[in-house]
Amino acid sequence: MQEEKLTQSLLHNKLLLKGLFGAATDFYTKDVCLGGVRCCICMFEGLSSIERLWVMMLDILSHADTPLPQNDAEALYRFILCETAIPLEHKSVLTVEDARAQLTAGTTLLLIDGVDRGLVLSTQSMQFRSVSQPSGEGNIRGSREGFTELLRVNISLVRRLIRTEGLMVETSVAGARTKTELALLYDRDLVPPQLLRTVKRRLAACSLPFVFDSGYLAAFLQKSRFSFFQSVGYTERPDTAAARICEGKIVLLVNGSPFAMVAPCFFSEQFGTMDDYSEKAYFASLLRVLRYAAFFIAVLLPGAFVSVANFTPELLPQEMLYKVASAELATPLPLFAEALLINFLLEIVREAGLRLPHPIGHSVSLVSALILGDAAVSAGLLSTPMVIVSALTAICAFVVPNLYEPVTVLRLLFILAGGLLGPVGMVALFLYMLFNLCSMNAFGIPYTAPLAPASRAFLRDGLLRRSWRTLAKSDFSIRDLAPKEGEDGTQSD
Amino acid sequence: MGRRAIDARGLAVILGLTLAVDLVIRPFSQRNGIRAQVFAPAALLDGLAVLALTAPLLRALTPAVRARMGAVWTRGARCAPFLLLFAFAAGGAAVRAEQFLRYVSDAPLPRVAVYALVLAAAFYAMRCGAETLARVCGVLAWLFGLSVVILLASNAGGMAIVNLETEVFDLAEWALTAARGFSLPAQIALFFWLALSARDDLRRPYRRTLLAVILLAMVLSVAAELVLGSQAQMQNQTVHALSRLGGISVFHRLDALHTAAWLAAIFAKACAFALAARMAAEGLLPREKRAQASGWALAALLVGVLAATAVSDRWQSRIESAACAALLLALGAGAFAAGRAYEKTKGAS
Repeated sequence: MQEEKLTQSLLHNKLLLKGLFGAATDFYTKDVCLGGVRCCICMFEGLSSIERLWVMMLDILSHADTPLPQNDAEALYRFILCETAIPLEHKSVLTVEDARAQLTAGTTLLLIDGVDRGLVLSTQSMQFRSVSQPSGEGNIRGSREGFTELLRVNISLVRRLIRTEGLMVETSVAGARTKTELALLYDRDLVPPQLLRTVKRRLAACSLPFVFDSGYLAAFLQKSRFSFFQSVGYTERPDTAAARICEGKIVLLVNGSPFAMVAPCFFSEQFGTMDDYSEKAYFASLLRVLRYAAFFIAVLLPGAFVSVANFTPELLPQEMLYKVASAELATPLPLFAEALLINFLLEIVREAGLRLPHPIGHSVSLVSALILGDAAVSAGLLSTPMVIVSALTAICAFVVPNLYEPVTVLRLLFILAGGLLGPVGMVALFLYMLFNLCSMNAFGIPYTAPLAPASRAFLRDGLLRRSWRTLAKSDFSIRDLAPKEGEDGTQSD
Repeated sequence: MGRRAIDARGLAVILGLTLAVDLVIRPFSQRNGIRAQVFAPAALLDGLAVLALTAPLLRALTPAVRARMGAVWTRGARCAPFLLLFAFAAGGAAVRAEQFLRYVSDAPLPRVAVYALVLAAAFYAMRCGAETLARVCGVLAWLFGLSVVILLASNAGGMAIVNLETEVFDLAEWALTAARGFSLPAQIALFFWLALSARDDLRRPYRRTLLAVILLAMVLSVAAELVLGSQAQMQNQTVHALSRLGGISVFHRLDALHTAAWLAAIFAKACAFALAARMAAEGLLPREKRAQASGWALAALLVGVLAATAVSDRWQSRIESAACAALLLALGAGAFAAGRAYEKTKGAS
């Protein structure tokens, strides 16, 4: 039905649309007569503005020097399309599917009896959240703007930052039931053609019933093989998205989601922020090293502590050994179980804090601090060293929020490995994690680039950040990280 | 899983790491009272001898020759001896790791558990491929290098020239030590086997890597004697003893960090041989069974572990050397034949 074309009969077209949208109370239609020709206005209340519509209609009617064609439907159509200043979409509606797409985008459809096309008036007036500070990705310097839920607004935010002709925007639709609009943004001069083809092909092959966030599409864009890490990234910031486009990457915006997806995304990028490029190079480098250290502390520390305490206690300094041993004796659970329990509780507290309504959100911190932290230790249910280790781990995990999911899971695995198998288990799991990381390719480029395989970019803008005088001498694009011609990657992503 | 190209630098990193880890995990096991004054130049001579013996093969393996040989030598019965050598070497790495762990731990894991962990890591590495292995070895090489630097720095304070055992240099003693200590590690065969997939120049990365490993052996032997004196010759794990002694400021038990880095490296060594064994098994199996190559290779690894536990460390080294020498000779003959065929084709065209 949806591919059915509009006809010249106004009644037939109205019935088609009514049949499509059924008895939806927000579907508004109004019969009008323009130049003796019967017409019908169709729109969705809430998506379109009736006031704006009537201003446009009054504009048609108030033209005294160019009167409306009378009793001629085609002439009326051409008159409105070409001789009025009404903002119209460049394409008229030919099919029922086109009509659906335009009406749900917030435009108004003007059907004319005797014309098998519909005029689309730009009367969008949707309610949406205004551009505000992003919820995450905080920074000291730089822009405070974040993406919103409206696709057109997000595109405009990026367009404002990249004002060259190279920026391309291509839209498409995903989700069988929601027909959510997507936009691919890239720089046509910088993006590798193979990358663009791959992304488009995978998006076209994506079959989802609905799409409410860019994260839904991640599984379709990446290789199906399991990995803790993702070769796509997310950002709420237009300046970050623009920076990625200037590196030759592709940004995917989804209508209804303030999170833009960036493809490809590399491991080393999780440890960089936009502030790194505003700060002095030495300080930015220090912070990056700090973030790498925080990542490894968050993943390895609890497991290492459990492993050392259970299998190789002689490694601990004497004073610390006494404290750990006495704490372990005083608590009912073994250290290994304690580690698992505390980390489990930390995740529960975090999840509760995320889902609670704001007015009672402070209760979470009260409960976790007083009851879990203080009372449990005082009662001897949990040991202080373990609580300290877990707290330090949790804080370190928040330093690299993009990697929170893999850090959490890996941390638990390392606790299990360290508690059950000791140092050998830790080493084996570390090697597994390393192999897992290094086996990933982000759209044909090693995910661990420029760390492995090592390249000059590692010290240029990988682990450390050189000064802008050095960075500005040569442009960086992701083509610099791609394997040399003639070499295959491990997984052709 | 098809044969993937790997670059010469990645191969060199794999070679370097797998050779270097033997210097710390199984160091100077042939020493038996050999002082550094003799050991260091003997190690240099042995390393140069390996370079000299493999130089003709390296020269013959031009990119064009490797392209021809890769199609022939990685299919059929020719893969069988490679599979056996690599499985045995992987087993040897697992056994060595377990012995080292038993030596350094007060409460070591059961032997079977250690072997299982090594084989599990090796199996996963088989599935990941050569390029991944090169990247992993690159990261581990950095950690290993850092470990060596910290090891030397932490022991700098304990080094004393007077600890060096110096006598009048005896050429015969030196030559005999070099002859007794000479071996062709299986890593050399691994390098050339994987090199059949590489397309760029191998000579410089290979030479640089071997020279770096020789230098490391010399530095470690001298450093051990500078710190431990004559006791260095009596140690089972000399470098580990150094790591136990060294300290930086208030940090005295750095051996845990060193051991972790070295363990990771020896696991990587087992993984490298496992990957090569999988590639050999893939070549050996008929087309319809190639998808099961990892399983067959794992079975071969298991046999390799059992075989390695049945022989002493010295005999393991001898078996590996003999097998490696035979395979390198075979590769050399193949390279020579492929080179002549290529020249004929080039001349004809």
